[in-house]
Amino acid sequence: MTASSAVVVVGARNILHAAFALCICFLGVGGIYVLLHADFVAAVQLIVYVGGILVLIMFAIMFSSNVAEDTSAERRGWFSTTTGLVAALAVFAGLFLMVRRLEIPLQQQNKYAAVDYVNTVGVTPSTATAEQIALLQKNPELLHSISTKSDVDAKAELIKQSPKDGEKLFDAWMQFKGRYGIGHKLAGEYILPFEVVSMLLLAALVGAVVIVRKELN
Amino acid sequence: MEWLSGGPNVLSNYLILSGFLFACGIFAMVSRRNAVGILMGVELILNATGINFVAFSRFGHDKIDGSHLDGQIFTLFIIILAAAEAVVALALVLAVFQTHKTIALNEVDEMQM
Repeated sequence: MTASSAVVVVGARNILHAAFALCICFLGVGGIYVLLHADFVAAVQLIVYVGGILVLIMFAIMFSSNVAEDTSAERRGWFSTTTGLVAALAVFAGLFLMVRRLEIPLQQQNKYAAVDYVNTVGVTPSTATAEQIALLQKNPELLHSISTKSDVDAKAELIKQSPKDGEKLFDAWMQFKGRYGIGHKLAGEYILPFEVVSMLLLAALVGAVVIVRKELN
Repeated sequence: MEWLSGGPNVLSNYLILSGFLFACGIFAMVSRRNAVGILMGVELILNATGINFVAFSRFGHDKIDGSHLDGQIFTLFIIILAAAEAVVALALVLAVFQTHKTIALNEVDEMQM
């Protein structure tokens, strides 16, 4: 879905149709983030892209062109089109071949990655209790077997493998996994870039106002 | 379609998708006449990088010391920068439209009126 709407974004003759396709594309990318267990990023994607950037783009289109008539000659001529097509195909083919060649298998992960994770992060603030962390540290094999699974699968797997305290382990793992770890990281390790970006946003806002406002005599 | 097997649990599928979005973005940037269309191409490319970062942060780490969130944070910053860039670029588009009455980039080729 994401890919096909991206094709519409580049292929649509009417710029407004391209903008609508871009909306679907952003939604699809948000879905991809959910698949990758990045809930927070998915939410931000929806808010910023679909809610913000897309509305801006729509406004710009509406202000700046006659949407109904302006469907002809959307391309810059055959030379640009072929150049673009060749460049895009070359880039995609290169990336595709590279990915096929590399083929990083999941199984090559460090077997004890999950338990290392518990050991190191266990020291920093996390919502897991000491008891829960100890429970997790006692079961490295189990943790490894669930570390790449989705939450539902992980719960089923844990209960299957240790009927006795699978439920408890799952709770501990969820507490531990730090769904809220992004906040800690943003306010700790990444505090400087965070502040710099806030200044940048302010500058962009002021700059945009300065650029579009009418000159005052 | 053996290369798509594995569904959402294989890193390379995400990389191929993001490569495709990247290629679409490049095509839009090179071939579109409308400045807003070019901006859409840029947004596609930034989305592709975002997918890449999150995918690698989920699958690519060897030793997890909390670093599985770094990629997500980078993606957040990318989104923020994309927003800032879009604001400025669209403001420029409107300013150009006020002076030139068009935003077709092959007709707007002088620096000053």
